[in-house]
Amino acid sequence: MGYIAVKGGSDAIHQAKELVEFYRVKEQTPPVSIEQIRTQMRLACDKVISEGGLYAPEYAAIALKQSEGDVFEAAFILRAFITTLQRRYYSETINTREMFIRRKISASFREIPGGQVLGPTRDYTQRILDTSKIEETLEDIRQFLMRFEASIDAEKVQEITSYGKVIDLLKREGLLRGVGNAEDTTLKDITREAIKFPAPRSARLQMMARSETGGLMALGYSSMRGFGNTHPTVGELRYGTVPVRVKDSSGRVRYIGKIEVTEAEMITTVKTSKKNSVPLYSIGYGLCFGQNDTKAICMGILDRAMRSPEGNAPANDAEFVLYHTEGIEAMGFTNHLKLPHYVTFQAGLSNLRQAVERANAVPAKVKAEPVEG
Amino acid sequence: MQREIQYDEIFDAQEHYRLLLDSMARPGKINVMPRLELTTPPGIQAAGALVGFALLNSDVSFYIDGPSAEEVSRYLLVNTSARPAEAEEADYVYLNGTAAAEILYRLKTGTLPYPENSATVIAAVEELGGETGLALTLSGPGVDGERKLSVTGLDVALLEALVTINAEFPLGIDLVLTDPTGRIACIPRSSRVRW
Amino acid sequence: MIENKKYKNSYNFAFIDESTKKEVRRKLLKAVAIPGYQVPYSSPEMPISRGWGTGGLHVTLAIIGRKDVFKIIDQGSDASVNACNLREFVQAMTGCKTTYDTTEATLIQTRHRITEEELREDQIFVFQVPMPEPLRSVERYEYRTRQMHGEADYAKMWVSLYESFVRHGGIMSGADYPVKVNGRYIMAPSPIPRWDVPNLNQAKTLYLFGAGREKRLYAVPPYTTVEPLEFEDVRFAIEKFGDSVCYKTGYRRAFLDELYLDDGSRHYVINDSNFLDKIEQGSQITPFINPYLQQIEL
Repeated sequence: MGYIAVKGGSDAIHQAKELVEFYRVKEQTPPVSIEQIRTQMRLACDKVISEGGLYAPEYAAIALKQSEGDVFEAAFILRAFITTLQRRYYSETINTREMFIRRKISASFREIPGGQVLGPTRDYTQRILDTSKIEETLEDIRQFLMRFEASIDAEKVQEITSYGKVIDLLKREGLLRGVGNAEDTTLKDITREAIKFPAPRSARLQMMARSETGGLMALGYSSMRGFGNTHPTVGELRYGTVPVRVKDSSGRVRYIGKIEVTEAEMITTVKTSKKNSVPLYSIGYGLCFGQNDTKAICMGILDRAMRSPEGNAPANDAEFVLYHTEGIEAMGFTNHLKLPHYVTFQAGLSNLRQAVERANAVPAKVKAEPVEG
Repeated sequence: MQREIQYDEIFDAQEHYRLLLDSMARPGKINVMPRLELTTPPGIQAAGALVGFALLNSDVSFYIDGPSAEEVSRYLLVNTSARPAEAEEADYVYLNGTAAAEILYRLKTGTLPYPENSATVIAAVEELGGETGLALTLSGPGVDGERKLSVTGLDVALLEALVTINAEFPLGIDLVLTDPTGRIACIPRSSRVRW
Repeated sequence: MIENKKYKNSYNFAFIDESTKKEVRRKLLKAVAIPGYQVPYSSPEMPISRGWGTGGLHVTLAIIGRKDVFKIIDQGSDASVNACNLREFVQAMTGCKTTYDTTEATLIQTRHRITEEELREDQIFVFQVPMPEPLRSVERYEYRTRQMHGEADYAKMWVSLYESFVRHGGIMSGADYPVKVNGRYIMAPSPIPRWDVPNLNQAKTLYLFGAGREKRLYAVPPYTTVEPLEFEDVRFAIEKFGDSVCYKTGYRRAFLDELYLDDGSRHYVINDSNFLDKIEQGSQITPFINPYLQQIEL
């Protein structure tokens, strides 16, 4: 007989916890180290810190190990962990013009200041399953690193490591529409207050910075495929490290470290119904922790889409986009259907049975009429 | 001015909050805040200070009405990190039961979509529940029929202003009364008051 | 700091940081002052999934004290799996005494039921709420439902109830039946069965509601009017169990669960597990009394 949902609850959940741990280790393979996960599953860790909303790659690695690689679960663990930490400061605004560039590309121009820097990416590799990875040894890794370092030409290492932005070029020429709306500059903190609609841009961007990548991707994709009117170009996509600073209690600004971020500036045209007005460019902005091109690009698409609420596609609807791409909440609520709902169900059953009774009562009445003949 | 060292930010705050919640949920019901060794400056009663310690922090603002405003402000700032603000913006307003009624008309009463964005007034009176004083009769949510509350040191004009403002329910102001012996009682905007 | 051996970490008493507790406490006071109105709050993350009781937990953990005796039920049962998990969490984070006995508890958290035993003035009852917005089924946008509540513009709601009657001959809301609080706000009482709704009206206890995922808090103070929405000629009614009685005790004036045993036979049993235990043991019970219940013969 299966578990009765009602009694013996404590025993059932303890056994389930034991059992899931058993599934994690039953093959008795050597325990994966946190360092290995953090370094060799870098992009999974990047997703976890991004969706968890906490820049802590090592803790992300722990969470991934704890959850057997379930990125939703790991992001959730990290998000819950934030609640136990004391909030001490707000950082100074991060200036991505100070970014130490690892990757910088633009689809809008053939050549940009500093050049197109592909950086670390699998974009232009063939996705052929590499079975040689089975035999990889630490020695192979050492050999590769030695060869790699030997190929670096010390003389070519440039001093300048931060570059102006593509959008600055457009701004100079007067082709960018200004962000004139006062509402857009209200600074909210969505971890401190519930989002209220219509939400200012700071709240929308903050929510998307923590959104689940797949959700953003689906909606960004829909916006490009006809369920929306946004077909943007990548003005600039950057990945690298940026310095983080805070103001101490005496008012002095201090450097406290650096973080890796991916930033996308998507150039879109604003359709305007006003006559004789120029359809200037507008920027859709995306920024997230770690290396995650998809997320930054889709953030940019949706940032722009949500500023055109007159379109009736889901991607233009701020409430729709923001509520439903919140991965922790979405995962929790969809899965909550597994919780016992028998009382709610019973309440509905009662209603339905009465409705059936009422429906069946009608033909009986008709039958009661005597047929003349 | 120093922080109160006798105050436990975790357990005292919780205990005192439960008394406050009980009083707000049961308008007119008197609860007694425990005696603590506080060093409150003149201009704020111990019970009023404890209400502030239970609720205030750096996310909210307060306004002090009365002669010792600066000292009380500093006291609350040091002990709670809450920010002083103008009466029109303040979330928590401290005043005396004998204050001029006009002050109430300056306070936030919320908006229809967000009525909670309104002031809570902590009014210091001479005595709650005494033999003499203004006999208030409260009814509405939280009260089984009617409840009587006697207050000494609360100006009728102030009460009238409160009732006028709260006639715009759900907009309104919520009132916490305190006296020197540590007694508290509340009149939320949902209450009907007669005297 | 409470040294928490289970998690091998030091956690603040009741897990939530003091800043968040204060925010919840402030908002609850406003919620109590405006009965039935949903106050937005920050709803920080908990180590429990969204949709599994984080809102109820926020309220409980913001107000619980060392001397509280805590009870938690899910679908009426103390031993239900999720109630067990949340109970262990609260116990580990507060060191509070926990109980299955409704009359012994000082603070009770519930998912989707009110206890059969009447709650007292010295108790606080906290509901876990999945969808706090009663108008969501007729209006999908938050900014519009905010306006509707603000202006008491509930026409859409009444129309949908009327349409339900026209189509099905009755108002088809089962659990989470919409109610009007203090003659002003329409409120979602959480998916409690209609059986429990009358016990919200003019009750002795303070009812608090926490919707964590949707980030809303609301309250029904004691002795507050709570009326289920109904028409003059189409009245609210609680669930009818007909001639069915609890097969273990023969009791009929309680909400019953429908069970199917291995042999396919159908039985009914009292849903409230502590109430069932007490009747089975012959202990004293103090059930709620309301006009709907009084129509059922004991």
